[in-house]
Amino acid sequence: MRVRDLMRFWRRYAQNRAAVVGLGFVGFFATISVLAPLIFPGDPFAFGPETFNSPSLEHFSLMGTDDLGRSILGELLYGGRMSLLVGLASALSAVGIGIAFGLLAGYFAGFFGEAIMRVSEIFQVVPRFFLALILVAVLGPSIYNIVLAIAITSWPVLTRIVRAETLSVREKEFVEASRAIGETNVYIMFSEVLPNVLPPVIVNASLLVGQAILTEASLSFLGLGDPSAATWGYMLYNAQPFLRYAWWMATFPGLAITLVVLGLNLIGDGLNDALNPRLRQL
Amino acid sequence: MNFIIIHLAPGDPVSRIAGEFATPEYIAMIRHSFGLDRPLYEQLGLYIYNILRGDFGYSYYHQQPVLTVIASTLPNTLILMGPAVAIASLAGLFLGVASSRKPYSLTDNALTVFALGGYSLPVFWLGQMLVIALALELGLFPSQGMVSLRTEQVGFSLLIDRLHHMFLPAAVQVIWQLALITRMTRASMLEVFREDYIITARSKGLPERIVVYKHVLRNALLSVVTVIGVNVQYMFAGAVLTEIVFAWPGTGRLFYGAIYARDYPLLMGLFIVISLAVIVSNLIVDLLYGYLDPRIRLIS
Repeated sequence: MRVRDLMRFWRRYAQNRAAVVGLGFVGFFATISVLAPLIFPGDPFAFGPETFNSPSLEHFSLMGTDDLGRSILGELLYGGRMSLLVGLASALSAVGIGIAFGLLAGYFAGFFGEAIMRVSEIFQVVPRFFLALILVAVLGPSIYNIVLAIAITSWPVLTRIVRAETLSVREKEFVEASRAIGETNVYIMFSEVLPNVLPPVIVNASLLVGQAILTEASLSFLGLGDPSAATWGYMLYNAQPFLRYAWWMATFPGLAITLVVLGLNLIGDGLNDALNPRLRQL
Repeated sequence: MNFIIIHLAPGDPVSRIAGEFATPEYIAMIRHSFGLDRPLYEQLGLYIYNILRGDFGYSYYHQQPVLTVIASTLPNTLILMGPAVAIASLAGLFLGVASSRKPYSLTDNALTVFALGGYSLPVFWLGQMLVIALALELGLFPSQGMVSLRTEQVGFSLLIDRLHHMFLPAAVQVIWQLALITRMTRASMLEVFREDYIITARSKGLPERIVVYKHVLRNALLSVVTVIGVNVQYMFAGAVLTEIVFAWPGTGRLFYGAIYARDYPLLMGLFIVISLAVIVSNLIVDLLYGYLDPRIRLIS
């Protein structure tokens, strides 16, 4: 039964060819990130004697070396791990906070719900990127603070969506029914309401991962990256002083970010088409 | 007028913002001196009070009042952003309309790919690539700065020199924003095309051009304007990042220097000024919205 549902969902998703391509991009980078130690044995951050090697087919110099003689390919593989992890962790945290507050605000509308919405409105008036920048600058540029800052500035969007959906689901008969048989509020919120508000959350989550990767790259580029956890954005930051000497230092990490984010955006579009019944009829 | 009031409703933005970002800093200070939270609240109060009076503190890196430092660089950012936003908006509308007239045609697909790509790439990376290709390889444009340093220029040649330096950073902004606006225009155009009054307009025998521009575009414009308003903050972020690639002496460089020097008063000041700029532009967009949509004017 479950498998058949999944198959049906996949067929609907696969109708959008661009979405399949997107999944391919993301899948490719996820795979090489996981397999990084196999593809690139040895320490990718060890300094080497040959600095500014241009890309060639010689051993592990496929994408050239940087100012300290490190292989760009190795940095790219391991940087991808960090970039993807930061994107995923930030988006998941934002989704967690967003769902919790959204469910509460929608289910317990009234003073409490209003209070949550006012707080989320303040976050929407303030420019998000700059708030994240200030947070990381003040808390210190560690990878955890970067994830925290991105999550703190991203949850209000999800809270609004979840609250709006919750408000309408709350009035449905099946919720009334489970209230009538005496289920607790917590049970109703998580088992009855939550599954029904998930589709738009899933679509937004895939877009959020992409945005988080871009935000992290931008923060790194401003000098707020974590030097002990080099991401693709941090590589671009390193490349900036050497644009004149080493085009490869900037080109490859940027290309990787673009393809992953593009992939995630395409997946978001595809999920939206597959999950949104209203659009499907058109 | 209701519209403005709703937007002013979250209270005085300045004090809200100050409270919000001041907290982490104060948390750090609390760590130093446990249990001394009440005087800190007073300090926070004093900080807010000072900001309301227009005193943003003293930048210890630049050895000047924060507001003076910001005021000397903000115009450079606006010079870069203003024309870029204008060009991108007009061109984006045009391309979006072109894209929506024949959905899933070759033109539409090409434009969609362009828009999606532009939307997905880091804006500063686009800058880096243009620097490498056009400035360093082909030598068409200067890669850094706002004016040529070697020669003293006045009048017309200064203007030409400025425009020459401006071209690449502005082009980065335009390409990046164009992608977004094209995408949004296409989506809202397609939505309006499905409305009943468009079928009516067509069945009246109106020429397609009039239907597209007078009926569809006028209505689609509303949501496009909203989207531009919502994205003003990202345009600022994009400008700040682009400035760093091109060593453009605007707020972006200021941010970079302030982060490097841990100049917190300057960082806070920049944050407040940019937040205010974003809020004011959103307000302008709301007013524009009322002007474009008679329905809203009638209600208020």
